[in-house]
Amino acid sequence: MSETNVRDVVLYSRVRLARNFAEIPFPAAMRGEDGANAQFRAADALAHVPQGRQYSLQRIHDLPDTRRRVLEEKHLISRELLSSGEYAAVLLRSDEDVCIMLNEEDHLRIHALLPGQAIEEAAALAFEVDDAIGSVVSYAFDSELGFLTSCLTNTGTGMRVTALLHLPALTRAGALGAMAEEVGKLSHSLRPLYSEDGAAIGELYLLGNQRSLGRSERELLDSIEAIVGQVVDRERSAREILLMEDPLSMEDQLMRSLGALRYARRLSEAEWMRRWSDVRLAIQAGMLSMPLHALDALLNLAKPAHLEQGAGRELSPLERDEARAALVRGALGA
Amino acid sequence: MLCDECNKNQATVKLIAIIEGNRTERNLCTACMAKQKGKMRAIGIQGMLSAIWNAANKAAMRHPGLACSRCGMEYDIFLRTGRLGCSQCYQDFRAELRPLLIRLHGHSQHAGHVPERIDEASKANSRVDRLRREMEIAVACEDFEQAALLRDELRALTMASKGGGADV
Repeated sequence: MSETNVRDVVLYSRVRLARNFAEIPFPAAMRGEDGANAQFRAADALAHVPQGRQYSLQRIHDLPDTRRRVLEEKHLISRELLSSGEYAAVLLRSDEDVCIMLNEEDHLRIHALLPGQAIEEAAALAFEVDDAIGSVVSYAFDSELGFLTSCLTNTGTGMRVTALLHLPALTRAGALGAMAEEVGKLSHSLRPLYSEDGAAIGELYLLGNQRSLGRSERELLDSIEAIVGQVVDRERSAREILLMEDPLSMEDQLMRSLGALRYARRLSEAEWMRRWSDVRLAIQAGMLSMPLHALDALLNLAKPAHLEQGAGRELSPLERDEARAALVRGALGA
Repeated sequence: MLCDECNKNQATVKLIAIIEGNRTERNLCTACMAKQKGKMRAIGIQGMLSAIWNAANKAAMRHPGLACSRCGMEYDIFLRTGRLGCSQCYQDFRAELRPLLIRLHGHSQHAGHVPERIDEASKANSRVDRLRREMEIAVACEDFEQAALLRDELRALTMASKGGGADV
């Protein structure tokens, strides 16, 4: 399949499994040595995981602030982990495809995150790590309720499958509200990744399952894949219609955004995301030749902590906008 | 008539909003209406989620004095924070948690993966639960042949477990 078919709508696929050790209180009730025990047990169990040596244990407390925020911007860790106390840590595989948060809401949050439409592959990665750890430790598990988690929203399979979708045409057609409602009826959610005044920044949305109990992992994966497939089809049709209606004014609008990105000296995050969405649409419409993955890679690189990491120092908001503009100019070739 | 929002374009639509019983009426241009639509969609999604959570919370009756025998987590604190303290909480609050789980998931019976390391009794139990569920579905679908097969399998498993000393 060409790159366009795999990632024209789906930017990444993620599968997360929530797990707890049977013998240790959940993070909300941990005392004394519990947190250290959970950390030790997880790191020890990882020795049994295929490619266990590729994982490194990073304690949140020991990480510089910029590094913490970089991990968060990459969606490898959650904001909650950053405020989850002394024993919050992350086991990160060197390729960053798999990441295990320790002592956040649950002892273990096994994440597999892959670019494009790759739900099956991400699930296989997460299950492999889960099985390997589960073969050496006893998870908190109940025959009626399944995997026991700190919050009831994750009880059962502990599984949350999400896909990050770029839906510029459906957004512009005003179809998102009705679609979110439809998706909601199927016990899934469709919501903006980031929103400002109710509008999805960058026209990016997260689609994920809401229920984790009463259906098998296979059933959950099948249903979310079917829903993602539907949304992808509709977005592709909407793009065709959008480009057909008034091709010249559409091309004019999209190419102006390319111009702004190529020549701007300061780019706020909001403007960058808006123009990024236009340019991404232009690439798919064949108005511009550039690999999608290169444009998508800029999404993280242009975020505040990534820019500060690149600069090697803290940046003021204005300096960040300048650094962002310079980065984007370099990548899009003025 | 000019748009109430931007005061520049010609108003083409009338937006009537009723928020907590208060009715407002505004005349908007197409561009400002599009912005409003975005706002309304966002409110709709968040409102729906919080309504689900509130409905689930209403089902949760307070139980002063009920606490987990292992970690000491009080049930009323769980209701406030939404966080359970340990796996024993699920045993001690099972009757209270079941209706909440059904509200959230539509089910209270796990149908997924069983980890490798659990005690034999739980393993047999979860297989029995699964077979029982499948049998009920087969009966409901009037697939009696399949139901009979499942019944036999269930019987064999229960006998084996009893023989093995596991309490099924």
